[in-house]
Amino acid sequence: MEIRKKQDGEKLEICIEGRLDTNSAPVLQKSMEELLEEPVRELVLDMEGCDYVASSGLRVILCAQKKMNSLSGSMVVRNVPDEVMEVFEMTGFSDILDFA
Amino acid sequence: MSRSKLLIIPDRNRIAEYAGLAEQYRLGFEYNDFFSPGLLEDEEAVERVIEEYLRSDRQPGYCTVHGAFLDITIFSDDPLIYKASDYRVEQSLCIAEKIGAGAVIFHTNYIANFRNAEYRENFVSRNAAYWTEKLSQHPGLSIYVENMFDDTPELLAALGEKMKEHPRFGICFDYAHAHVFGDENHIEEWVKTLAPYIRHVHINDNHCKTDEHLAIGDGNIDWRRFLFYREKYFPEATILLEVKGMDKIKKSMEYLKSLTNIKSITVKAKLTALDELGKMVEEELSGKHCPPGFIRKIMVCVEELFVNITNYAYTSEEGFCRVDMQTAGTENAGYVRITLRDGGVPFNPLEKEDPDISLSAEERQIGGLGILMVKKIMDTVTYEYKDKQNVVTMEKRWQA
Repeated sequence: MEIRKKQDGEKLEICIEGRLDTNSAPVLQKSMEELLEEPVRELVLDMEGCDYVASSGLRVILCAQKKMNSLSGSMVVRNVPDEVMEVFEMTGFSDILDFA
Repeated sequence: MSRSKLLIIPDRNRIAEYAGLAEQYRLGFEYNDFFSPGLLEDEEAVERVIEEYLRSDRQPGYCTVHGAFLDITIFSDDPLIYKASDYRVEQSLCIAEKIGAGAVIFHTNYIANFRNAEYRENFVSRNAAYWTEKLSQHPGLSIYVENMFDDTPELLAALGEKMKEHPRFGICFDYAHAHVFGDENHIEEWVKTLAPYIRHVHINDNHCKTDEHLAIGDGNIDWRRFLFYREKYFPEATILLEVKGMDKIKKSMEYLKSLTNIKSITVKAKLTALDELGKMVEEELSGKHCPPGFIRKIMVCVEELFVNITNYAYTSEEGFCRVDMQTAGTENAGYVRITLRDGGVPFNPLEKEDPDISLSAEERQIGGLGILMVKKIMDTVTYEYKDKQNVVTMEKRWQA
């Protein structure tokens, strides 16, 4: 998995490329934590290059959502491939995430 | 195929050899000696044959008897024909009891192209009444009725439906007869129609013209399709490899084995093995015509269960996890069955209550999502603790 970031003032865009599995989820978790130490009001998670999400990956996404809620900011998930959307749906994540 | 459910026809002149094969592969026997009218006419000879088998003292754990069949018409209007048929059926059942068999197989034997409605109705009602009585007289036996010259499965299914409450009655689906006397292009209809009642299956090969009883793989029957049907429609049925002679039996077993793809891998129960497991799943399923999205879903399920093992199975010492993966299918449809085993502390991952997925982000708990995904993605997931191992088995089918 690779993580690309684009910061524009208080807007942070994170693109995930590759598999978000049990081995890569902690890597994403760590870089999210570091990135969110800066003042961020708007987080965009771009999943176009990610066609595989395990439950460990879901946990990182949930943490990010909770963090943005606590910062009174917003989080948007975009370009979600169909199969990942299926995972979001079967776990109820489609109800708690905002999709662009 | 599950070996304990496969039966072969023993040859009493070479019983040690057959018993050896049965022990090696955990096969059962279906005795084919006792449907010969010549033998049945000589009751002393029958006793001698039974003696021969019992004396060998190497009978498999499960045996069946093929009952008298040609000319047997227990639903006949003619009292004499009925009497003779009943006499032979009774002989077959008594032989089965003496030899310690679990079930006896008889044939439908109705005239398929005699389209008289009353004849067909009588077939169903008289058979049902007759077998109900026989089952109550022989409480240790199951009775299976087999399609013979049947051109369609409806009449046999009607009998199965009428007898469905009886736990010891079932249908013996002769897959080869269905190809010869039925329509080989409509086998799936046969399978689907009979599926709820099938307890036993007879298999051998032919060219869809005559009942040749060839070794599996020597005729025209599509055996990949058979394995798929078996998994989907009658996974619990016992199967008789209905060919005679050691060469044909071994050839058939080899052929079936070559169609069933089982891949096994044993890895350390550590997250570092995750990539290796994912690779195996991907390799096994790629090129099997299943959609890429399907492969990734199966990979997620293996990952979730494996991660669970790395978290809970081994607390103090280093442990291992064995993964068996069985795939079968055609270009249109197939299935995958995966078993994960670990020797750690007994732990049933399916027991835990599913997380509430209707809660808001703030209220969400982080645990339990992986197993929830497995349950939702797979068709079935089961757990058992067997031979000091946690065994989780999951299955899923795909359709193109």
